[in-house]
Amino acid sequence: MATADLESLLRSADRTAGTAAYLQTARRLREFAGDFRSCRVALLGTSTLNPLVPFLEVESAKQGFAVDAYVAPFNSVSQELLSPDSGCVSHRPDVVFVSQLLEDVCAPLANDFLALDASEVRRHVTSIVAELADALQHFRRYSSAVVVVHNFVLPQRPLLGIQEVMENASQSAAIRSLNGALVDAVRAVPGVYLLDCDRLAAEIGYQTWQDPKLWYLARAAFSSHALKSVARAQALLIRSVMSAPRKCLVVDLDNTLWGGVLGEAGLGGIQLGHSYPGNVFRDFQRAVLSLHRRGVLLAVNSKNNLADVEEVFRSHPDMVLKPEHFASMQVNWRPKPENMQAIAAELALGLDSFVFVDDDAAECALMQEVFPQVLTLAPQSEPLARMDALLNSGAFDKVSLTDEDRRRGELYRTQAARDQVRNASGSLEDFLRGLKMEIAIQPVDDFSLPRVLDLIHKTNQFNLTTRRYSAAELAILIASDECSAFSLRVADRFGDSGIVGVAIARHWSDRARLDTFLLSCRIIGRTVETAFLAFLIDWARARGIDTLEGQFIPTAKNAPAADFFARHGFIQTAAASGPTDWRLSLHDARVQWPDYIRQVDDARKAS
Amino acid sequence: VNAENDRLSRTIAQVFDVSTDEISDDSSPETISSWDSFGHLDLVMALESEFRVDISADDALAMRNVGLIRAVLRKAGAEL
Repeated sequence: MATADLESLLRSADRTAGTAAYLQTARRLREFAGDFRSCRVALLGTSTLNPLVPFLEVESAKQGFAVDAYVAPFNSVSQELLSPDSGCVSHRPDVVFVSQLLEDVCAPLANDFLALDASEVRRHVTSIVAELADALQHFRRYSSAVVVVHNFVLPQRPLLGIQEVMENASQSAAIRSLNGALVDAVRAVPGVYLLDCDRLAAEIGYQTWQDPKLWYLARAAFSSHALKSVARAQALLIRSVMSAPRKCLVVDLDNTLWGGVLGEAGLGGIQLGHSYPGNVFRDFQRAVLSLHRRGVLLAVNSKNNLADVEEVFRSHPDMVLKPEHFASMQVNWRPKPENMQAIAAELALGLDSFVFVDDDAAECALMQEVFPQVLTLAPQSEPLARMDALLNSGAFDKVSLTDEDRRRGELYRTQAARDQVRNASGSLEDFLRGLKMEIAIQPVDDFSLPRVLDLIHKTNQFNLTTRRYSAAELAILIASDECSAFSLRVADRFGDSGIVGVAIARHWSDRARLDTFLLSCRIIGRTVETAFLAFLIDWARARGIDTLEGQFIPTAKNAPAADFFARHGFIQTAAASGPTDWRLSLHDARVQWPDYIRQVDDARKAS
Repeated sequence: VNAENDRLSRTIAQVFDVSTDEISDDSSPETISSWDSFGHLDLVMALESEFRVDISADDALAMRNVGLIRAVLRKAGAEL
């Protein structure tokens, strides 16, 4: 399929394009459906949502997805969620969007707010949320689809005029508290997330959000501007629940982290500081640092002299980013794709984990051509536009943020310290002994679930089966009596690595089967898998199980786990090409917990 | 056929996925099958963005064929 055609097609529906262009692009995109991952979507709502579909198709295509949308009959949200044979459930959606208007879920709050006293307002807010939570719980019983609930938009015109902002009992305040209560309600049901519609409305303007004639003529709640904005937010959510997030931002230096060319202008001549354009570069660095704090790894890919660059990091007073924020620095005169490959190898990440930012159009084109898997942001000549491009890309957006995300940069740095010990110490066992590892293995609970899900979605290398369960599927598995799930947490003398392993076993009377067994790449090579397996064998024996079965499903990336079964004495039972089946008799299994690893109740307490 | 007709026909053709040849002043929901009530919403939004005008609710209702659309656009001050 001609990629250039597809690109120009998508460009024809950019943010400046009119409605007609969107409609036409949406239709023509259907010919390219094979080029995209498919995503089945259900739109549930209390207003006319059909006009949203072509916009959603176009915006999803920009994120790599071909959307197959079902639009539920007008104002049937509860029926669609509560009935196991509703149109929504039969559509077998991957993602369900629930877009309700306040006046449809609670007329008094919307239409005659000032007649209510404070306790009535509270009662209404509570009952809206309770009703929704109940419907979502019901829906969860027969669908594992991700559900995204739109929050409520503040009134276009404050009922109390200028007083609204000063009044605790205003309609605006009630809607804010309703939106706050939604946050807690969705957190209680696995696989349910929020879409911040109120924020979208504020971005384009409350006055622009609705088009009164579309509303009064057809109960269509979104103006054409709002349609674009909602569709884009939905598409970003689709991408973040359907695919693994990007993990590493790779930046150029000259005219990216600072203005000017360091090799020519020198330390004192680069633009970085408190006046234009240096202040833009400083803020760009702040934005990059915030991504780092969110768990995005940073790397440098620059054509420069390393000594010059080190001097800037060391002595420029306005550098926001420090060497310790970067997991990898490739500063040399080699082609940038080659450096990109080196960064990927160093961090043990696939190329599809990277986002690349460079001001030079030729470098961007080269990267795009050599490594299309890398997300290369469109080069911008204006410093201000570059910041927008990074912040608006949503490339690193995720539906949840775990503690491990916040600490990932730090984790990779302690990894570097460990590698130094490995290089300095003699045998592997000396190295492992020297680490003073402590492991805690616990059944997966509400606390560990987000991180476990994260690992299930992101672990490629030490992963026996690479089963990517959705939050809802996982919740259902864990709740099942025939299934046990464990998380494994590791700490050592360099620090706490957090939860880095997951095992899910299905079990029947006398046998158990490893459904999922994975370890984060940063723990590979430390015999943690042997400890984990020894634990599982003890657990199985205690339940009277005498056979442990497993399967290895080879992928492009999981070679590090290929010899796991053979290494631990499993016998191969089926030798078809592709997946292989393995069995271990627990009567004569000889898997020993490594004596240099201490098992603890809570590895977080390790020193 | 002048340029104004071309631009209007092109927009309508884009919205309803038909050829510009099929569009005349008499074209209406009766002659174009995709011109249903949802299609009409799309059409109103498309005309507003293409001709940079605001169309009132009454005018949106009055646009029952292409000739009437042109009259509405003229009245709204579209560059025709």
